This record gives sequence, C-alpha cells and structure tokens, in this order.
Amino acid sequence: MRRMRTGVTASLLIAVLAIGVMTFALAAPGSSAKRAHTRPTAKGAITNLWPGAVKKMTVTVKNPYPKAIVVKKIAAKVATGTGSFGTCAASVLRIKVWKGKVTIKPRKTKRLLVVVTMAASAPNSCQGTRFPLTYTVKAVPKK
Amino acid sequence: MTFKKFSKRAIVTSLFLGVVLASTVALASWLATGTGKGYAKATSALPLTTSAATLGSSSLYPGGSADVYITVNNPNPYPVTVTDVAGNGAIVTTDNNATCDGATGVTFTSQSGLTFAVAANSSASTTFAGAAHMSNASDDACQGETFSIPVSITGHSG
Repeated sequence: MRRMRTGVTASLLIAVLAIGVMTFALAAPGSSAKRAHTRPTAKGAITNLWPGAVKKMTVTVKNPYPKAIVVKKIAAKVATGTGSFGTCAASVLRIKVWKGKVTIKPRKTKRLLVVVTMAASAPNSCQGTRFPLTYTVKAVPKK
Repeated sequence: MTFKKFSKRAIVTSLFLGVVLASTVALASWLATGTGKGYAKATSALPLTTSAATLGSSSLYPGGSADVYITVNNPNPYPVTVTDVAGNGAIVTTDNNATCDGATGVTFTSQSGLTFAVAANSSASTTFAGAAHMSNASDDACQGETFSIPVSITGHSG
C-alpha cells in the first residue's frame, strides 16, 4: 500500500512538472531547436564623434520570434577605445539608456534612436578611436 | 489512522507541487533579453587652413608696423577655438619679387592666448593689430609690395 502511494505521489510530481515544462515551451516562441540560443538582437554604430558631441545613434533591434514583442529597454556598455593614438577611456563616451514601449512584429526589425555623448574633456589621444559597444535588450511578448 | 496520514502527505505534496507549478507558469511569462554588438568611432581632426595678409602694402614702411588680417578655415564638423598663431617660414612678396625677398625686413609677432572661435565647417577672420613689422633692413625694391606671411595655427575643439 505504501509503495503504491509513493508511486502515485511520484507520478503526480512528474506529471505536474511535465505540464509546467510544456506550458513554458508553449509560451516561449520559436522552434525548439533554436529556442535555447535565439534572442532579440541589437546592432548599431555611430561615427564622427568629437569632444562635446551629442548624437543620435540608430540601433536596430531584431525580433526572432514568431510573435510580436514589446521592447522596453536598450542599454549599451562601452569598452575602452583603441586607435592610432593608443587607448581612450570608455568613460569619455556616455550612451543613454533607452526606455520605452515599442512593438516589433514577428521576425521583423525596428530602428530606435539612442543618444550618444562624447565628453567635452575627451583628450586629444581619443581622435579616431573606435569604442566597442555591447547592447542589452529587454523585451516582453506583446499581449 | 492510515487514511489520515495519507491525507497529510497528500496536502503537503499538493502544496509542493502547487508551488512548483506556479513557479513554472511564472517562467512561462518570459522576459526576452537579447544582446548585440556595435561600435562608436571618434573622428580625427582635420587640419585648419588659413590665408594671411597684411591689410595693405601701404601700411608697412621701414621702422613701422601694420595690422595682419587672417582667415581661418575649419573643415571639421565641430567648432574650434584658435589659441595660437605663430610665424611659420620666410615672409616673401606675393609676386615673388626676388630682390625684395632677399631682404624684406618684415617679421610677424606670434600671437598666443587667443580665444578666436571658428564655427564648424566654416571660416572666420580676425585682425592682429600691429603684428607685422618692417625693419630698416628692408630693400628699396619692397616699396609697394604685398607680403605673404606663412603661419601655423593651434587650437582645440569647442
């Protein structure tokens, strides 16, 4: 009798976990083969920055899912720049965090504008420097 | 008694499973975070160019001074402030009068500590009062000549 109850309990546990996993799998869009690695992506670059410059950079966000998403936040991390004069501190560049609610249709892209500022105090050695940027995008499924 | 024990276990198990199910469903309301790469590139400064000239050949005479009129061209997409203008080579006549060029006696007084602003992609002019001098060593052939004064310019953005 005890074995039977243990068996029933274990079966229930497995069943509920399976339901949970299935629910998650159904909610997360994309094919199962790609789901683990597919995420919204962002890319964007800007050139011709100078000390004191305030510019708008176009960042293209791609929705890889078969359902619409709402982009809520884009942040960019700046790495140390390198150029013909050597290195230039990442701190001379400020990229404002974009916040909003922009819908991107399934498997489509959208361009968003992010404000980039180069400090007026940027030293002469920052001329021609290229700063690598890494974007982070936060989005939720459109209801 | 056995039935009562089973009920307790069932309740505990159900609660546990309920929590598991709830947390799993919570995950189902996913937050899609993504990443990407890009870059930002600073421009390289383009050199300032200039044309410099005295206000008129009649202004200079041996032992005298004249104003120097200068135009600075800024090809950069940002404003610059010129801080120094210094002589940069021999001062010669614009029509290459060899006799005069051999002994113009003309000198230029370098200017420093300036705050001469030139807007982005534009030109601006200024006058340096009494910056050109002609000494008594000037050849007689320099009468009526116009002189070209080569200069170097130093400035910064902003």
